[in-house]
Amino acid sequence: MKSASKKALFKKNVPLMLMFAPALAYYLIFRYLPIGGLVISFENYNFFDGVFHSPWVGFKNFEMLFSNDKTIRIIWNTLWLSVLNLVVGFPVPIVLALMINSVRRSWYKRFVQTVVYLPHFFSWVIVGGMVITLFSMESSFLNHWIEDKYGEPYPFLYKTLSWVTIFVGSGVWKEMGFSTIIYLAALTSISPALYEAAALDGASKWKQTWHVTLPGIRGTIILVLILSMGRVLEVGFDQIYNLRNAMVSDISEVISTYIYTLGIQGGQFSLTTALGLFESVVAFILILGANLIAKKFNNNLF
Amino acid sequence: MLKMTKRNVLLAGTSVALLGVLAACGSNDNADNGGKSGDSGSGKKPTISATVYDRGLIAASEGTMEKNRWTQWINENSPTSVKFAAIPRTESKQKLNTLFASGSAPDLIFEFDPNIKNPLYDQKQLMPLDDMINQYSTTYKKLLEDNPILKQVSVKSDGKIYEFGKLNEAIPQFIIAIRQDWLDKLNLTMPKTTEEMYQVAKAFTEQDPDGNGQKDTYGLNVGPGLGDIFGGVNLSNSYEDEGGKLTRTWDNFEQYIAFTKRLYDEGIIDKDYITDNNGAKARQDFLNGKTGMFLVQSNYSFWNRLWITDYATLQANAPGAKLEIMPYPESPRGQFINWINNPVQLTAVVNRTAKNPEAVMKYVDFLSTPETGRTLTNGMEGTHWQAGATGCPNPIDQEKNKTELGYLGQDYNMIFSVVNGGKCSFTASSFNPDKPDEKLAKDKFKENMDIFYSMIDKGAKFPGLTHLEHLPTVPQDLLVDFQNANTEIGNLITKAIVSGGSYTTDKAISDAQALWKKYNGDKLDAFYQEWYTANKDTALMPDDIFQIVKDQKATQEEILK
Amino acid sequence: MRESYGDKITRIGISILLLLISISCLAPVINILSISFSGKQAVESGKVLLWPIDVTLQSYSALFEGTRVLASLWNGVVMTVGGVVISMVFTICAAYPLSKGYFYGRRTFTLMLLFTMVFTGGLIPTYLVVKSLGLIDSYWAIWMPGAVSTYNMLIMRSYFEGIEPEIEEAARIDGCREMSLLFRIVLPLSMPVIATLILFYGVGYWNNFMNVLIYINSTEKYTITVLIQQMIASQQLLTESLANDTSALELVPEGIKSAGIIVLILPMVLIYPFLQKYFVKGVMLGSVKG
Repeated sequence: MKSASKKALFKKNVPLMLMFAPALAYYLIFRYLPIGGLVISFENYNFFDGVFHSPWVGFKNFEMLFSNDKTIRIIWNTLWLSVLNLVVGFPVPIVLALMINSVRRSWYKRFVQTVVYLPHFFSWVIVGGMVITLFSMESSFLNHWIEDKYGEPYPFLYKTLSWVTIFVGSGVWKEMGFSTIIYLAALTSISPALYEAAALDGASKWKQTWHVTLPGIRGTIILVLILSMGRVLEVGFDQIYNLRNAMVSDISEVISTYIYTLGIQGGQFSLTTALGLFESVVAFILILGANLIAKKFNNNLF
Repeated sequence: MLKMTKRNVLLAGTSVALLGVLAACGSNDNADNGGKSGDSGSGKKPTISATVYDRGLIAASEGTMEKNRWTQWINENSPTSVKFAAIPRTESKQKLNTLFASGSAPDLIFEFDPNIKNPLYDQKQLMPLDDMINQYSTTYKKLLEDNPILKQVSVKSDGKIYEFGKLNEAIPQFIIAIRQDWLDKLNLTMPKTTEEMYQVAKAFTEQDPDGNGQKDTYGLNVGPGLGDIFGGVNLSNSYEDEGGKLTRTWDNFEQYIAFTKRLYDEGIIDKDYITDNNGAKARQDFLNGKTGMFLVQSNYSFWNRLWITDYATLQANAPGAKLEIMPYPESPRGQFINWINNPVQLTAVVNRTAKNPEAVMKYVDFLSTPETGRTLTNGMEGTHWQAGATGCPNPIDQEKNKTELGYLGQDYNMIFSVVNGGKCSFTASSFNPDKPDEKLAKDKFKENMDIFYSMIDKGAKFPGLTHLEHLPTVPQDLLVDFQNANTEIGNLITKAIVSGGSYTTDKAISDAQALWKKYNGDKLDAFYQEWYTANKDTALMPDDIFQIVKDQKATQEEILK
Repeated sequence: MRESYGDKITRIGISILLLLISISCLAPVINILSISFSGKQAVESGKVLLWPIDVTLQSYSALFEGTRVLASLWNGVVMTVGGVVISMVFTICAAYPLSKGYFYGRRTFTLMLLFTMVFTGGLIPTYLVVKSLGLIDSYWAIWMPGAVSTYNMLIMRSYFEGIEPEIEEAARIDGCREMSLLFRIVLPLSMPVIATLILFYGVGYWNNFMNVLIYINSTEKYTITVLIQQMIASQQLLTESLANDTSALELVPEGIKSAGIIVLILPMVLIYPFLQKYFVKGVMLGSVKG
């Protein structure tokens, strides 16, 4: 009996294995092979000696980075901004998706969906310029109105708290439309029968949302959350570069801008790779951690 | 074992196909940019590979930067065949780095940024040029002999030449354009000192010079060159030579901060200037007639942009606007001259793996000849230009030239020196005095040069130790500290300017000095001192720059008269 | 079923809120659209806000005649379509087996793939691998390293896992084998996730800027995104490098840049509504009887 089912299992697996083979090959060649290049962070890499023969320096690069208290501050900034982004930016697309989903008129629904995802395509060079103008002291409508009312414009962009708010807000605004896509897709897989049943039980729209909709997309939400952990040390270079200014430099210096600054005078491959490696390690630990927590809810990735 | 079921066969076949897709791409025909150097047979021209910037501005009808009428002309007329590799202008560092890292960089690399070329030297990717110049060169060799400064600056720490370069016009890179009509209206005279400049700026802001009853004007913008008025506020070259010893000019910073701070506090400048990333807002204010003194870049195409295009826009928005050039005022630290265009610019390096240095050298010689320079700037005689009254090329059909020449931008001949081209290569020769707007631009250019020469004669100083492109690269172990110091002190200065009473200038300076110390500023100072002592006679120094200005004076005056 | 009063208020409130959000997202587009149709002087003076001033087609004609915008548009389409096809195939090849509980090594493989989501060798090592396969200067150099986005793959896997097992059971009882199962049952039921991934990959390939610049050497193969982004970035370059650039070329005028941006995002505006059809409710309906 046992051997028969083992054989059946194998039979079922064969086509799967064949199918998986090319994908595996892809990962091995184009993902794992280059990872070997991470050895650069333990070397004093230069073109002449190449990736595998450059002089070995062990942890010296990491020492150089972390003995600098500036690095610590930068990592702290990155974490702060990124966590804020997550806390605000995670629920917003979900709420937005729910709102869009509730729209009855199909043309309006499509219109909103399409319009709301457009900002994703604008480069931060453009959006940054617009945001700055919007909150500037002298040329923004907002501040003109404030000046009329209160006598003095408010330096939104130059005070840490308001700048961080603008930073997080504009980032969320830019990406929320695009981020709703996955939830909108997930919402379609909730059977209408469940809604009907709930309505029959006398549940209001709110209750329906809470008891039918959200649980229905719970899997997606948790998946996206876990995967977002992998991005927790990523605060996009373009966004910071185009929104920052000297007054908020204490908070606006993050890992990505630091890597850029280091790279200006060229050739800092080992240092920047080391920093990147650190980012990856932290992100991976966080993902594993989030997954463990999700396991408690039976929604783990692996 | 494996049941040869239809499905499995299908599946296996698909997998193989997919795996084949992964592997089969080797058969893909891709251009080998690694540089096919070497003689392609007797009687045929040798081929080299060279880079050229791609700025994305070439019309489809012309082709691509690798293949168009000019590359054709080059290949027909040069003693060497050239295969061009396009390098995206805005990402040249990444592109060149990956090419070198993978051993596929072309033979001849044209690049402006020393921060890209210097690391290549450090990583032993470059070929020394002494031998090829001595053995194979004629034109370029002569250029070096006639202009020893070019040779001196192209030598690296091991005493060998590693870069090709060119001599440029030594002209002001930044100027101040002032609203003469505002001066007239408010009965003011051209400011000659920074204190007068402040007074005039204040008047511009408070006395409603545009007459519209609203307080909506700025005295000036915080633009390029403002720091130079005070002797320069760039950390890498803010040193003075006091008897061979370099001292840091913190006083410059102090003056600059105090001056700008006052402007900010009194609303004389745009309070949002610190978020004006690329000067776009400042330019808009100026074009709308809101700025009294406009600090702006003024070399190459920027001159025409200011005096022809922008002047027209200004006059459309603010009729009656009249611009004059304001000479840099004297500061409490003395009289400084405008930042000068790099007169000796290094622009090309050779890949260590180039197989045919002779061919490379012959190509460089070809690029250095007057005919080549003229063709690759102005086009073909009879088609794009004809000789004008001054003997220099005048464009025939502007529209056609825009399409056919527009993308040239001298990117193919970044080695061409103005001294080889003679007077026709100078900016001033490109103005057509028959057109009123170009005549104005030319007149203003003359005015600018006259001011420039007289200031130098009166002993104006260069705003910094020397030109930034001629300073050495900071060594590896000090690099991180230097970058950090640069960023933080820069931020500190800005904070000091915009923080009003809560952050005094004195505190800012002492904080800056403390930061400098914290980031091993002493070691950096020592590094520059060492370099200076060893190299001050061979590197390009302000005296050399002024000398070149003098050398070019005769030609400039002849064109401009 | 009649709506309660409270529900009606909520619904109207939501509609208004969505309208406001839509306006905020549209405003930049309208601004850029207006600039692209405005005269040069008005644009340079910063006067154009929400409608064009001195209406002209000058920016568009300069864009189309003075740059390789049409060719690069075509290149963009080719690269995107090819990339989407390749990526979808590879992604399904990874996601489907991983979604089956009985697949050997499922946990290990998933962890392996997840690892690559955060750990990457970086630009130079990846370039070296791609080069050694001879892929440089062809779109394969963009398609192959990007064939599977682990993030996308996990989304698809999760969707596959969510398909009710009763459906699979029923099909197997009817004699269906693995591959039929995939093609005849699973994929048709997965239209929403397939549409989603097509969109994700499509946008990803379309917006791909850095990789094209690095891996593609021939400028004739450049895509529209590269062309337009270079225009946008060139403004920045000038101020940064202290203008040591001796080129006599003028900066790209704001109007042309804006026209380019419009051309760049236009396909994205057209694609999404088209794909929205596939986000259809109730696809599962009728597939499970009783």
